[in-house]
Amino acid sequence: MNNRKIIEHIKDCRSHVPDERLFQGVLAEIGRYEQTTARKESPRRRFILKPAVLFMIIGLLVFSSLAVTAVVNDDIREYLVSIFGGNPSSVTGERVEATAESGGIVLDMDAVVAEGDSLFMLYKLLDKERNVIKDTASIDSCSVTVDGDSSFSSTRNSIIINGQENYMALQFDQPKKGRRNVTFSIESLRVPDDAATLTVAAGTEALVPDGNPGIIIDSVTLKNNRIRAEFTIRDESAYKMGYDIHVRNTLTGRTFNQKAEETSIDTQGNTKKIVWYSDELDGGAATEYVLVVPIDRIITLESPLEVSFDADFSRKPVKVIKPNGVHVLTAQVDTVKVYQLSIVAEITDKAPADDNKEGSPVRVGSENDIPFYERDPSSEGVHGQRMRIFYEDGEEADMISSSTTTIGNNRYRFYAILYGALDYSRKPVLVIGDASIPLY
Amino acid sequence: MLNNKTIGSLLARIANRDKDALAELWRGAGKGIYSFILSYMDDRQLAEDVLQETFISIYKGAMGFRPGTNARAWIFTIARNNIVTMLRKRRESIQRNDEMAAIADERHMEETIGERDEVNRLLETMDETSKRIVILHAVSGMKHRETAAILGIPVGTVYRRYSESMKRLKAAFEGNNRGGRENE
Repeated sequence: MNNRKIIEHIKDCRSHVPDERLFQGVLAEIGRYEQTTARKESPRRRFILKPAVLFMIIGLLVFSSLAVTAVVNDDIREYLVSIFGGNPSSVTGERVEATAESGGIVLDMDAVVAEGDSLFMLYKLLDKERNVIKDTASIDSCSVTVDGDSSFSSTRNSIIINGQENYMALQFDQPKKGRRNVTFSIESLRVPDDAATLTVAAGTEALVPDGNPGIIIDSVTLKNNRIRAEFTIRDESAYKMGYDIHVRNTLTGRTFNQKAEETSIDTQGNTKKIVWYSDELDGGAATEYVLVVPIDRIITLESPLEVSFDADFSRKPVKVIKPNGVHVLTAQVDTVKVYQLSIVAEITDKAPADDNKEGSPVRVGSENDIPFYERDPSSEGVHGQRMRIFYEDGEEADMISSSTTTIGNNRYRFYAILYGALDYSRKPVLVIGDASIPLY
Repeated sequence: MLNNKTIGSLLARIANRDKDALAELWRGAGKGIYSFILSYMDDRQLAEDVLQETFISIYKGAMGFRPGTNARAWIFTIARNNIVTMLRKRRESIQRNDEMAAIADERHMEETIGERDEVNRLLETMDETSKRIVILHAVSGMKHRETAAILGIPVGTVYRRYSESMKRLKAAFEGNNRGGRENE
């Protein structure tokens, strides 16, 4: 059932037509009011409707919006459609024809979109003999350098389907300008090893899986109708935990996905601790539930798959918005830059910085702590606020990822990678915490 | 539901004691306002009293409306103020969680027939603010900024709650119809 249908039903069941006789009662009461109230004769007021500017009752919000023309290259949305489907607006980028092969696996770099401090790469991996990639894989180790610089602050990439289009999105520490040379190199892949999948009963403690001592399951507990699992990861050279960790009810067969995950690394960088939470379960005893941990095997390629190509980083934002008086808690939104596939908001907090979290790893919660996903967002400060985009019809624009970085004293950058260009006809609005900024 | 410009024009005429304009407003906005009032209370007699008080207040206060401001939000804010006044007089909490929960339980026991009744039932499981946000948009055609003004909450909150409510309604409806996930 789509939103429109739901709205129609709500209208049907929640629209109530008042009895016309009630209005007669209103007129009668007004008649009594006019008879009993002494009214002075006064000149009729003339109301002049002010054109152009609309003032809102809740406050005065004036936005200056500057539309900037992007550099036009080529429409590469066909690659995005093959990954994400749908019917997105055009996305201009650059077609790339760069190929590499190693051990029977072919890497084809098809297109790139370079904008601001982001690089969006669209590529295919094909294992012709399916010796390594049977159906799916993911990248384990790779490097991306732009004119020799490989310092980027975040990456996101899709699960690789053999022979089909994939993406990798990167955000660099600093915006780049002009035409730059990009080198993309894949050193190792991870492939699902179904035989190594772990199925662990709730209530388990201190489990070291046979043949896989690099992963230790410290505990699997049922708490507040969720499964909470703690892992210690000592060695990931041969195996890694898969992405689709989930819980299964052994009586009903229902599965429950991840709600949240916290990761921390010890100061030597040797041991990783992971705390994983499931979605809310259906109730019942712990004995009904098992934790399913897929395992991936690490495959190091004979030689790295490497391609090199030029990309133009001079693409300007689609829109630059400088809101006036919009605040996220105590912090003022300075600028919002909307690109085709990403959006960046820069925010300055005028209040004393008591929550500067620059560089701090996410701490692992204990069982007595409130899980971080249940904490009041306002208690996390500006840094903890979430960035989302909603259309007027209530649909949320999906994001591949969003992140917040401290870029200076009390200054923050909110950054999000989008699945495709925004549909401005549906009036998208950027929401950070409780603040909202129209993007149309 | 009438648009802002039309309501603004009617209010200008009502300020000049034009009762035909008040009648036009009743016909064009009465349903939306009444539905909004009913989202706060199940007692129809009480809701009818509030509706009448609202239109009387609109008539008396139309001179105070600032042309060019949001007329739709203005009349709904009057409705909300009257709701608050009425409920305070009756010493009832606006949230009325216990009572609404009891009413919701009764409704859960009724047979639901068809999609419309299912959506109605699911709506009753939502928290009051989210329910009003959805009703104001669906029934009265309110923009989210107008809803924020009427309910006195941030615009960002309205966007979030509306989107999450629609997702929950959709997921709950589809979940109920599919009868749960498939076995592994």
